[in-house]
Amino acid sequence: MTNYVTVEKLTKKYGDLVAVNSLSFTVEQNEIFGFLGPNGAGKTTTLNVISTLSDYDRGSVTIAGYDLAKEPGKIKALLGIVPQDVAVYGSLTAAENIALFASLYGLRGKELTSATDEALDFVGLADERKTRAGKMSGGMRRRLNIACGIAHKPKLIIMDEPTVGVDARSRETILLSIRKLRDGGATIIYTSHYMPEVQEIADRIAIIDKGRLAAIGTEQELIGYVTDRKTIRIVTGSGAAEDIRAAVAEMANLAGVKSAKYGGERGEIRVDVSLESANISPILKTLMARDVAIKSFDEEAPDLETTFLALTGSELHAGDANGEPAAPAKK
Amino acid sequence: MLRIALQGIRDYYRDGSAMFFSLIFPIVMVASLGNILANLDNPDSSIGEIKIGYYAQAGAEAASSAEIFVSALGQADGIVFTEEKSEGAAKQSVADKGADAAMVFTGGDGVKVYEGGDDVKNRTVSMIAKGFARESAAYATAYGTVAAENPQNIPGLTDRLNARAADGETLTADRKFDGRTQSMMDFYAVTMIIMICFMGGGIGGASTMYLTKREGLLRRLAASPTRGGAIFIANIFVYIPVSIAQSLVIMLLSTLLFGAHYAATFAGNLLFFAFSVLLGMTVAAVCMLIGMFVKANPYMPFMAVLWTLLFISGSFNREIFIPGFSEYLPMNIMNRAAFELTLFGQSGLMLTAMAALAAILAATCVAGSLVLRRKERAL
Repeated sequence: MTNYVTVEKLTKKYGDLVAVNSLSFTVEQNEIFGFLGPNGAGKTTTLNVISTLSDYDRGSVTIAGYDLAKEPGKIKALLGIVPQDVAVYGSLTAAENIALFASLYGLRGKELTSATDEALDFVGLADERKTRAGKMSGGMRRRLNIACGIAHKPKLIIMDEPTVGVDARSRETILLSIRKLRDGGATIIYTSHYMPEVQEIADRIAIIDKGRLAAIGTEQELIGYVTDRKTIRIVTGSGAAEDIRAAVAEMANLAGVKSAKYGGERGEIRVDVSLESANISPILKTLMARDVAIKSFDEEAPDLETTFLALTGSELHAGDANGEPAAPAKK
Repeated sequence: MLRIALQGIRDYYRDGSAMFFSLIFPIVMVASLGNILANLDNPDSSIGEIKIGYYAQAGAEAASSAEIFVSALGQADGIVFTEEKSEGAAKQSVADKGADAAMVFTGGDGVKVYEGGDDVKNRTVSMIAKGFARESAAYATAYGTVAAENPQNIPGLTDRLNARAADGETLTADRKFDGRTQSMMDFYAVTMIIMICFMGGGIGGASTMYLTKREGLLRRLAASPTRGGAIFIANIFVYIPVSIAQSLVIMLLSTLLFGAHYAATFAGNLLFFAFSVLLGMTVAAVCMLIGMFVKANPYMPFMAVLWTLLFISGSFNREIFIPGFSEYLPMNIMNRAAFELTLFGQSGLMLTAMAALAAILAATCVAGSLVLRRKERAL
């Protein structure tokens, strides 16, 4: 594997605010590189710099051997951008949108037509080529957004939360498309607020916090960073939701508890605790004191989410999948 | 660049609001204003004969003013002058209803008017008196200036002023130029085009760039190998057909449906058309540049600002003209340039205005390109 993107001591300031602080990492050729960080960590700024959309103060960025400061034009020709917002012309059809953006990279005539058709096929919109983007469903527009970023067959694709607001089926289609792009030879930098998605598709992951690199590696390598904690998973039986939430809030303040949250698909409580103070009795007592029935509880080894929390001190996103806010972690 | 412009045009014309601004709004404006102004060209009432008793106060200057005035207007149909022996007698003639109004010449451009009981005749006499005062003042100023600086030109000046006075005798209720009668529609058709260039170009330009930015399209375009200047210019190109459509709709409809006149010659009309297209594009470009920096939809604020500027520019109503300010507003200058061509056949100010517009357009393109190069500020 060779390094395709090399970021060295990148620093970007907005007035007194240091958005990116001497950040260094590499992205290998032909990999899906997950880029994670809490809100305000500096990931969007970093991606903007790599996308040539933002200047920087210090450091260097090299892509495919080209220095970003000296040859931004050559780098632009290699890039494909899939922005978080669906950036397509609502009044143009799917095919017209793709053809327009692909043409900006020099594609013309039959080559352009062929690239447009391939991109439509690739994201499963071949039957919608004449449908105006403004009349498409949210999932279809997301897929069109991807098609517009990849039709010109870029070597490096930067995807900023491409699955935001799409249903499970569209998400699967999109993730499958991204793997196909990697298998076709592209290098992909991928950000998401949805941790399982990053775990599912990323070959390597970088976690940044406060403008600095917190950790980088494969999922297993990252989990290995955290050896001082474990997760208690509790499944509740009966009890009012407000009682459970109050108990979870109380848990978060117990000694040795790093964080506690309630929610998820099965309404579980997940409590991260340090290994040194692994007494779970006080945790269970907070539920029992409110007459909340406990169906089961078990221990889990740290996962990527636990690792992220340990490294950054905050959740990847403000709430969990059910929109329930996480209880604040004890400092 | 051409491809961005073409797709932008396609995108624009598939949007209902764009169609409204470039076609429906001009049609509605021409239809509504045309109907209103067509009625304004019809007389509200018949004035009939006006009897004016006049008296010149002591002094050769007053007598001379009265003589010039009466000899010039006395030949007009419908105005009958009767000399009175004193100011009191003149007033009395109005009180006795022997005269509709009385005028007392006090010397130079001074004239006192005593009105009777007929409002329409009163307004007419008042307008005549104001016209006399203005002409006399202009005559005196011109004469004084020439006498002080170039006394040798006085004979020529007198001839020219006399010739102008003779022209004045042909003035009627309708203004005439190049043998054709001009109506209210001629004034307002030109004003409508100038207004729609500012409104359509301004609001459309600002909104387009704001939406392009808000929807992330500007970032996507800027991340491509296409240069920032080309992206900006391509968006301006979108307004070429828009400006053409707007001006064409107004010019054709106002001419065909309401008999409006523009320039007297085909070349003049072509020049006016080119001017309106250039104006629309320039306004759109300037507002696009501003639209790159605004954080909220500029539609309403731009509408409010442009309407206010149009309102106080004196373009539609001289009563709201603010001396020392209104005449420097772009709307006022553009209107004057258009009027000089279409009403008076003079293209000098219009050519100057077009040169200025072209320079502003070029400068805006350079600025837009620099802003896009600085990226973050605009994206």
